Order: sequence, then C-alpha cells, then structure tokens
Amino acid sequence: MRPRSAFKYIKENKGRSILIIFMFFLTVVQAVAGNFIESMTWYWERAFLYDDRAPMVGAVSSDEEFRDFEAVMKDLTEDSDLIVLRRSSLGYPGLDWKCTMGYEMGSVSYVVDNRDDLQKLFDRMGVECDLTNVGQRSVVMSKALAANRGLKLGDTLDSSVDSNITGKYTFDAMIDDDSFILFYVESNPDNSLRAYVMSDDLEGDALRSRIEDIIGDRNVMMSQSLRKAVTEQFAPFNLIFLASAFLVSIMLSVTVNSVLTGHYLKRIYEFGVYRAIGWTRRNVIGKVFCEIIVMDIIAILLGVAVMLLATFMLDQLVYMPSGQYLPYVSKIGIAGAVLSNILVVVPSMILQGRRMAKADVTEF
Amino acid sequence: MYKIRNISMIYDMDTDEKLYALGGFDLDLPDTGLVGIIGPSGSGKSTLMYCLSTLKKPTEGIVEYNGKDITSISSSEQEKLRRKEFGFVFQKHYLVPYLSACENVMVAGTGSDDDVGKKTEKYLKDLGLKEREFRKKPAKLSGGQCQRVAIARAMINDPRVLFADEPTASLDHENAFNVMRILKEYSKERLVVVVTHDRSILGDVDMMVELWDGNLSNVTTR
Repeated sequence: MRPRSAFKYIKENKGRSILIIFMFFLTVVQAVAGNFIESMTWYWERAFLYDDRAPMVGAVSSDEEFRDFEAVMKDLTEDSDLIVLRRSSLGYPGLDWKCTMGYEMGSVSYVVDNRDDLQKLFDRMGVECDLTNVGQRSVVMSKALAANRGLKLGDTLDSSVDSNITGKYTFDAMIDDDSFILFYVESNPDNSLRAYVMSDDLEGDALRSRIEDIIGDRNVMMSQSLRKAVTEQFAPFNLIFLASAFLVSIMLSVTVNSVLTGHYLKRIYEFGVYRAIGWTRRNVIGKVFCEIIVMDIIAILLGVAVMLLATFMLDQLVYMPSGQYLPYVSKIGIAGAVLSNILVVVPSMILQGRRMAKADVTEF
Repeated sequence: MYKIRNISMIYDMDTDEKLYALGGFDLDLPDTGLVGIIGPSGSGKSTLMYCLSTLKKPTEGIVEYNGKDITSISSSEQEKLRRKEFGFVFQKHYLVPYLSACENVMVAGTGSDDDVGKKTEKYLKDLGLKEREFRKKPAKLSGGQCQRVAIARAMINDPRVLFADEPTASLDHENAFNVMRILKEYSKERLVVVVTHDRSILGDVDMMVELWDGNLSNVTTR
C-alpha cells in the first residue's frame, strides 16, 4: 500500500476513520426515512393501475341526469374499443388498513353485479384469481390486505369488521398481489347507475380522454384520476422529508466538520512537511479529498448494505406478516441521502482541503 | 550556487514597530560543502534558511540560485525546486506518526515506486538503521533514529541543497555528532546548510555564517 494513499491513512488510523465513516453513514441511512415516505404511495400503485384501466362513470341525481347517463351508456357501449360494466350505485366502502408509518389509510372499492363481470374486470386489470367460490355478496381482496386486517378466506365482513360496511359479505376469493382494494359482488338492478369503462387497447389518460369525448357536455360524472389525487395529497410529505433531511444534514455537516477540523489540525505538521518538500496545493487538497471520498464510499457501501439488510429484516419479521411492505429503494429516499451526503461531504472536503493546503512548516 | 543581495525580512510590516528578522545584507554560498549558520535565538538564522529554500519570501532583496532569482518565480516553480533540488531536515523530525520509517522516507520520493523503495532502503542502511527498524513507526524509534529517518527523507530525491534546521537540537551529544558526520559526508558533492545555535557541532563546517539581530556579524570560510 503506497504511503500517500488514502487507504493507508484509513488502515493506520482505524479509530478516527471509523468515527468519520459512521457520520457519513448517517447521511446514507436517511434513505430509509425516504423509503417509509414512499411506502405510502407504493401501497397505492396497484390502485393507480386498476383505476387507469377501469375508470368509473356515474349519474348524479336528477331525472334529467339519469337520462343523460343512459344516453352516455348507449354511446359508450356502441364504441367498439370500449367495454362497459354497469354496477350498483350504492355506497360500498373500502377497508381501512395500517401502513408502515403506523397510521390508518383508507382504500378504494370496486363493485360488480356478478362473477362474470368480476372476471371481465380482472381480465382488463390484469388480475389473476380463482373465482370459483364467488357469488352474490362475495368479497374479494388481496393477500396483503387480508393479512393487514387479520382476515382469512371464509370470514364474514360486516359492521363488526368495519363500521362503514352495511350488510354481510363473505370473503370468498383471494388475489395474490399487494393491492389494498376491496372487490364486492352484489347486483342492484334497480339502482344500476354507475359503470366501469374499460378497453383492450386504451388505459390511463387515453381512456379517460375517449370517455370524456363521448360524455361531452352531458351531466355525467367520471371519477378523477386516483393517481393524480393521491400523488397530490402525498406531495407535501416528500417536501417535508426533503426539508427535514436538509436540516438534519446541516446539523450533521457542522458536527462532522468540527470532528474533521480537530482531526486534521492534529495532522497540520504532516501537511506542512508535505508542502515544504514540494507537494503542490493540488497534491495536498487531492490527498484530503481522496481520504474523505474513500471514507465516504466506505460509508455509502456500508450504509446501503445495512439499509438493505434492515429493510429485509423489517419486511420479513414485522411488515410482511401484517400485509405491509417497506420498499428497498425509493426515489425520495435516494434524493434525501444524496442531498444529505453532498451537504456533509462536499463542505468537509473543501474546508479541510483548503486548510491543509495552507499548512506552513515555518510557523510551527 | 547562491548569491544573496540586500536580503531583508520584516515581520509586522503594518505596525509602527517593525521587526527586522533580516536586516539587508549580501552573502554568497558555494556549490558544495557544509555551511553552518549560527546565532542566538531571534538572530534570523531560520528566517534566512526559509528564504534560501523558498519557504518564505524576503521583504526585499534577491536570492539568486544557479543564476535565477528564486524570490520572484511562481509558486509552482518554487514547489518544483523544493521537490527536485532541495531537501529538508527539521528541528523536530516531523515524521508522519502513522507511517513506518521506510514509508516516511518513501512519501517524499518522486521517482517510480521501485526506485524510491530501493533508494529508501539504501539510505536508511547507510544512515545506520537496521532492517528490523525499517517497519517501525516513529513512536517506536529513538530520537536519533527518527532524525536519521528525517535525513533519509531529505536525501531521497538526491537534492542539490540540503537544509537542516537545528537537526541536532533534540539529540544527545553522541547522536548529534553522528548526524553531523552524515551531513558532512553528504556535503562532499552537494551543498548542506545547517542552522544551529550550538557552535560545538560546527567543528567540521566549510563555511560559518554568524548572524546577530538579523545581520551578518561574521563569515568564515575554511
């Protein structure tokens, strides 16, 4: 190992280096906090997908609007690209469930008249599920949601399970995915004033736009995009997380720089001698940069390993058994960790590098 | 090798009571030989050495090294001079505590790793260090051994001028004379400038420069 190398310094000064690596490590584990934030929207990913593939249209309330609804239904059905599933317009609540952040979240529900309609819905949504036992007053939900609520196949869902549920339903089929959505099967032919509109070729904005064009200025409502609504609601959490990551990083940066200043001041003689024997400013700054960067890379690698291991353990031992999930990686988590790491490491490199480049052996 | 003209160094330039570390004098130094700069504390001997070695820029005057005024060259040229042509031994050896004796010498080397490694071992052996001491950290070496390592570090790039600032200050009498013997040997083909306030170690010098209050009080050549 070359005497000038950063590894040499780290190897020979393990105690000091470990302290600094630990501080840099703290910047990386901020990503876990970001993962928790992102986990909230992650729960909704399936719901977004299903909503993009089966938006709902419905009548509002007056007779004139009912007539508009029927006219729209006729036009939608006549469009060869669209598949229309009419459904009951009664209220069917979703189930509240606990997220990894510890609080309860609501969910969406779908209602279809019968098993065939549910199969059509599932075919378009891309859901695979054995519907053999499904009949009137059945409920279908995912394994994750069932685990979260402590339900098993055959259980009865009524107001004792969730106060918003009116009537009795049986949990008759389970979907092997992570959706937090309830599917009811119940026919109300006298009150069939809503419909899911699907397509084999269209989804998302394209599908909504086609439906909007058909509705025109008639008094029929279409459900707003769940993706937009939920993302807008969660956006402040991301900002709060980034702001808190910024504040924590500033505090960490001050602490790290105090430690590093003490650390490098002890080495002022070393750098003074380097300057005296002809090292350029760039050589000295380069050595400081390399030492800090190598310690940071070690901290990042350790941080990532610890973070993945901790997430795996949390998921396996705590979250997955109760139908929850903490993602291993998230955009907001990466953004927080990168922001924090830059705020801590870059000022350290600049301050200590400049200080050591000024070391002057004639002043000792 | 050196032509010094009207060199002066003033500290506290901005205050009314200016402190003259060097009072403006002329001095010529030879290409080879052992030159002793002697004087009491505060006489300006270290300042003169720093000016000769580009570690400090004099307030006024010229320091000509091989026909070139080194006070007015760029800092990168000064760094190159210090790296290629000058070697330094400091009063407190200033060895890097976490590097072994061998690595402390190598850290100053400018050639290939192989060459620097071979030269390091040769110099340390020539200076009387045993091989088992090569891997020892400075804390495990005696003061005399540390100073020898510092001398080897100063010699590693075969400098044309070796500056030694109080190289024997922290050594006992025997070690002090051993260090001076080594420097004397080295000065046969190069210039060695030794700054000290201990007249007893300068018995073998080729030229003695005596300073008093920042001015030359006597120059003796043998």
